[in-house]
Order: sequence, then structure tokens, then C-alpha cells
Amino acid sequence: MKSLSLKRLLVTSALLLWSLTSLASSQFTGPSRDANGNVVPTPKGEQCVEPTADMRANHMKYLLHKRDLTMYDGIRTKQHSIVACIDCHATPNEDGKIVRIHDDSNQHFCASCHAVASVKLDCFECHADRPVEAFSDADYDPVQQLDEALAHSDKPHALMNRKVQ
Amino acid sequence: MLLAILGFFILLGFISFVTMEHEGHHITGMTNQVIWGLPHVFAIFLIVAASGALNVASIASVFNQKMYKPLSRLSGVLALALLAGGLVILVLDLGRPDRLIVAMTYYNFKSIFAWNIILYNGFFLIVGIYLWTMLDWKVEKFSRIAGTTAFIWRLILTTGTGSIFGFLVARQAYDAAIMAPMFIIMSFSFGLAIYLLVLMASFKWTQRELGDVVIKRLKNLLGVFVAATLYFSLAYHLTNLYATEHHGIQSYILLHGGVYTLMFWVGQVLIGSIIPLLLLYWPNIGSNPFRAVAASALVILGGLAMLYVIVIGGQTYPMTLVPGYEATSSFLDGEIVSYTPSIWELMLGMGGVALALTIVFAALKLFRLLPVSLSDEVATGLK
Amino acid sequence: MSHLDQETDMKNTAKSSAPNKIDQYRRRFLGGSVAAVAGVAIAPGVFLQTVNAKPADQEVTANNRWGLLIDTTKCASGCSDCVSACNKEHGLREIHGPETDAQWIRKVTLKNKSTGHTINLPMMCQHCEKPPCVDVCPTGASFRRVDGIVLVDKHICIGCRYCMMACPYKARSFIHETLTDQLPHAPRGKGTVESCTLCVHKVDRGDGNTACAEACSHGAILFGDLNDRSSEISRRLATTGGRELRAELGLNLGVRYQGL
Repeated sequence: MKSLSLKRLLVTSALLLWSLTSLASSQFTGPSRDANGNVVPTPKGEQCVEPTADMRANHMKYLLHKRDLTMYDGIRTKQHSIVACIDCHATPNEDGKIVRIHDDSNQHFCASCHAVASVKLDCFECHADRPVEAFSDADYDPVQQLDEALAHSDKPHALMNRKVQ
Repeated sequence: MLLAILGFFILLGFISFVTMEHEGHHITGMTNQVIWGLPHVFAIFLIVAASGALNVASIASVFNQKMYKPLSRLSGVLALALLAGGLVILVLDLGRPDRLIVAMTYYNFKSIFAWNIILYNGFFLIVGIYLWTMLDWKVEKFSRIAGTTAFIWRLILTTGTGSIFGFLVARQAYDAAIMAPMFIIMSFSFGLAIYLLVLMASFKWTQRELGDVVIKRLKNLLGVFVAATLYFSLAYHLTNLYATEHHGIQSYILLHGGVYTLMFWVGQVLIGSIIPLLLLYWPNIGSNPFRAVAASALVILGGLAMLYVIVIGGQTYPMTLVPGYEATSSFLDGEIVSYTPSIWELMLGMGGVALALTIVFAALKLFRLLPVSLSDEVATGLK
Repeated sequence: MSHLDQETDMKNTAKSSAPNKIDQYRRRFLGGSVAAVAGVAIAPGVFLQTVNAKPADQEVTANNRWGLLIDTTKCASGCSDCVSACNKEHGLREIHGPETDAQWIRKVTLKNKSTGHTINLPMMCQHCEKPPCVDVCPTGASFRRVDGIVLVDKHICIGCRYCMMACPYKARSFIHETLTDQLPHAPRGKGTVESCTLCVHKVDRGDGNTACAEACSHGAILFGDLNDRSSEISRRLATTGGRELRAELGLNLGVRYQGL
């Protein structure tokens, strides 16, 4: 409990700091920016699933709750699901490129805040940091061409062993 | 100087941990077939030895043997140190060591592993209290009850460690009730061997007198434990040899398992059992200290070999999918798989050993663990 | 393409801007039911396998027990379409070779030692009713969903690999390296254990099939509900039978084999 409230305190103060810097550099209106002044791509839609202040404070609560509903109960609705968050929030930047969590610019919606708040973010070690539509057919089938080339290979299980760039 | 060497090995262990954590386990020799490797051999050896190292203290407070009383404190400290060393290896080998807190907060009570986590933590607590009763005369009157609790707890603990393998119904090399008692007797043997070496070294370095009487008693006890371990191993293999179903795995380990066969016969049986028994009991082949040191060192080597055969040898032999049919696949079904330990695993294992010894070393400096003298006159007076 | 399905699925499931959750759930529930009724009315044949599909916002129940029936006599030697399809569906790739790479499904060839009789079959997690991996998992990360699918909660998996030691079928893989570009519906990561999920994301979506079964052009893999007496899998099990691998362990497997 103690560590939790400490964490929340840290996050809140970091957010406060963040809003202050935004104010000071008079970027209060217009697109939101990360700490380096890079424009964070605008999310899809007009309103998040919860009010912004609520999400800032409680997004992990919602995510964790939904995570267990999905994993144990098979409830895969859009509400509070990490995939849906990413689908709305990880949109193309000014250059039309979909930003990734590890991009140096910290333009990725999650990274833009977590980097400032110095809160370690490990969701995307396993979860996709890009929306569903950012995946091309090649991502879904990273080995399709090799597949066809090897289809008539005489090694019985050669299909298991293919290299991907 | 000793501390510098130990520190160096701890550093190596730490480097290994950081590298394994960063790169992932593909840099080790462990695979999806040989799931547990050299770190587990070291870890299980230390954990098993830890509970055995406590025996000397138990003999004093549970069985009231006065001569063992002055040996008790070192016994308790060594037990804690070995367990700490073993657990550190085990934890740092986890795929997600950062989630240690999860292991402490989520329990599946059907898992013997979860029980072991409780048993290990309890061991620290109980042996800690036991040590306190030994070090502080104000609570000395609770020493007997603390010692008895610790003794029972350590028996349960090693039962738990052995059952990690005993409960594996899937694999022919494990899945045997004898694993639990065999691990207990192994712990007596390995623990006492390490204790003897540490005792003799610490007396030598602090220029205390350690008489023949004590050494002789301990070495004879070690001999009993070594023989008992060999007997349990014999019973395990004989039982399996009788069942046709197990002929495959038995002939693999005992006859044509390559390095595992070699480790079994030369490592476990010859170096770890026969030669130590001769050293301990054969008349007129040297002084008691020499016999004790040489036999203890060989028992430790043999113990590591024994665990290597159990842990790794048992995994390299394939599981039967359909009786009477040989399996082949891209996942190495039906094949005897190879395992070559990597330098990282060795570094991690040695790091754990070094950590355990460092803890003992530090405790020897900080607390009064050793009696002023255990010369023959003192020891005889205690009988 | 599965991502297209998912996209449309999401469009159907929620217009998430509405702040009123009850309304949202009601709408989604109604939407789901209407679609289901329409489906049954319009194209019963097409939807035959999805009649059991639950609405997206409802919990899975023990009324279903999902499983596979594999006809080894139809499984072709040298064909590994099921393996390719699984790899594709879940983004499994070769990284450091077969010893350390994840394999959720593999083709096994069994050869009788005396007669030489050979059997081909795909091996995957057998989705036991009493899974040894679940028994031994210290944190409870290995679990069995009420509808019979055995999964790993990778959020609490500490990577001890005891489940891999305990599995009689070598069904599980440990992730030995950092992964990148995981697919949205198949999160996977270094240091945790994983195995066949019985395409749980497809099951929950109501696809009524797994990637391996869909890909098998020989019709050797049949997905279905073992609890539903009228399902094809139950009927075939009742008439022609199906054996469990290592049945002596008494684990009551969700995957059954014919022609063993």
C-alpha cells in the first residue's frame, strides 16, 4: 500500500511538472507535445473512454481490471483494452509515420508521458505498441515467401526453421 | 585476500546475471528440452547442503550431545549462508527475476514449489531465532525448543526439495517417492562435508586448536551418511531396474549415457562414495584431519556429480509419447538431447557459492561463533 | 485476414465515446444478439459452428469444453501446414534454432520399433482437465480457463520453468530472447513460458475454429465443443472414438487422436 501511494505521488508530481512546463512554453492550446517539444500525434475520436483526468490517474487500474477479465473470462470488448487504447492513441505523426514506443522522439502517446514521469513502462515488451492497422500482411506472415520456397524441401520439418529479417 | 577472491566470484556471478537478464536465456546451455541446467545443480546442491549443515547444531540441542554444543553456532550460520547462496542462484536464473515479489505474493498451494518458497523463508526465520538463542544467554533457555523446531522444519524442507523431482509424474527419471528421503540423506552427507571443511579452515585461520576427538567423531558420522546416500541411490536404481518400463532410462544412465554414465560411476560412486568411505574408515592411511579434509572435498565433488546426473541426465532422456513407438520431430522428440553448460551458468553457480562463503566469513568476523578451543582435553571434558 | 476481422469486430462492439457504461453494455449486448439471430436466420449453414459463440461481453463458462480431434490417418507425412498457420497466426519466428525457439505445435512422426508402422500427428498443448503444469506452477500463472483452455498468465509468470518440467507432452516453450513486433492479439515476451492457446482469441471472437484446423487441407484436425453432445467432434468421438496420449496419467485431455 505504501509503495503504491508513493508511486502515485511521484506520478502526480511528474504530471504536475509536465503541465507546468507545457504552460510555461505556452503550448497550452494546440496539439500536445512531449518533453522535447515534439508533437504527440492526435488520438482518433473526440473523447477517451474515460475523462482525461481520470485516465491520467487511473489508466493502469482500468487496464489491469480489463486484463484479468480478458485473460480469465474471455471478455474481449473494446472498453479499457490495451489493444483498443493503442488503436486510438498510436496514430501517425506529422511525417505520416506510426510512432513506436522506443522511438527517440518519445512521440508515442504512452512514452511521451512515461518518459517525463520516469515511470518504467514494460507493457510493450510483450504487447504491440502499434495499432492493428499498422501491421501489414508481411507482419502477419513474416515467413510467407520463404514458406513457399521451402514447401517442396525434402527435409521433413524444414518449415519450422525459417529466418526472419 | 580470501574476501577479494570471493568478491571476484560474486562479481562474476553478478555479471552473468545481468548478461542473462539482458540477452535472455539463449546465451546459456539451457533449452526447451534441457529446461534446468547447471545453475540448478549448484542451487539444489547448496539448498540441500544448507539443511544438512544444520545437523551439527541439531545433534547438540535435539539429541543433547554436549560435545557438539560448541560447534552449533557455526552450524546455524553455515546453514543460513548456504541457503542464501542457493536461493540467489535460483532466483537470478528465473526468466523474470524482477518479479520475485510475485513469487512472494501469489501462491498456488498445490505447487510444491510454492510450498518450498514458504519453507525457505521459514527456515531463515526459524534458524535465525535458533541462532539468537545460541548467541544470547538471556534467551538461551529457548534453545532446545528452537533447535527442535528447526530440526523438524529442515526435514520438511528437504522433503520439499526432493519432492520437486519426486512429484514430476511426466518424467521417468523422476516421479519416485524415494526422491524425498534420498534428498534428506544427501543433505546429511553434503552438509556435513561442507561443515567439516569450513570448521577446519576457520579454526586454522583463527589459530584455534581443533583436537582429534572432534574431527574423528565428525568424520565417522560423515562416513555413515556417505554410505546411506549410496544405499538410497542403489535402492532407487534397483527398483527401476526391475520394471521393464524403466529399462531404457536406466541403461541410459548406468551404461551408455556418455558423460552422465561417467559422472554416475566415476563422479558419484567412485569419487563421491567409495574413495571417501575408504579414506574415512580404512585403518592407517593418514591422520584424521587429512582423512576428513580429503573425504569431505570428494563428497562435495561427488554430490555435485550426483545432482548433475539427476537434474540434467534425467532431462536429456526422451519421454515416451506412445509406448512401443519411437518419436521424431522438429522439437527433438524421442531424441537424447545434448546439453553443454555455458560459462554464464558456471559463473552464476560459482557466484552463489562465493556468496555463501562470504556470508560465513563475515559472520565469523562479526559474531563469536567459534569456541576458544576444541582441543582434545576440552572435547573429552564435554563428553 | 484476422486483423480485418478484429477491426470490424471492434466497430461492431462499441461506439466508445458514450460515457454511460450501462447504455454501452446494453447496446453491445443487443447488437450481439441481433447479429446472432440474424446469422441463424439468414445462413444457418455458414454459422453452424458459431452457434455456441458467446457475446463479446459475457464470461466464458464451463458449459463449453473446447477441444480438438485429430485423425492421424489423414495427417500427411511431410506436410506442416498446421505448423505454418500457427506460426503465422501468433507471430512465432525462428530466432536461434529449434532448441530454444518457441514451438506451439509440431509435427511428430511415430514409428513402431518392431513393425515399422508409422503415424504422423500434430502435437500441441493437450489442454488437460487436470493439467500438471497448473498443479506445479508456484504463482498460479499457469491456469485452466473454465472452458477448458490451458493458458499462461504471463503477467505473473516468473519464468521458473517448472511447468515445462512437469508437462508430459513437452508442449511448452520458454522465451529465450527479447522479442519484437509481437502481434496485437498474441502478446509474448522474454523470460516467460508459453504454449498453444487453442487460438483463444479466435474462440472468444466466435470463429469456432483454430488456425491449425483451418489450415489443414487434409481435414485431419477438427475443433469443437466436447461438452456439446450434438457437436461434430462429440459425435465423431462417440462413433469412431479417439484416444488420449499418455492416457495412463489420467489427465482427461482436450485433444484426442484417432488412428493411434
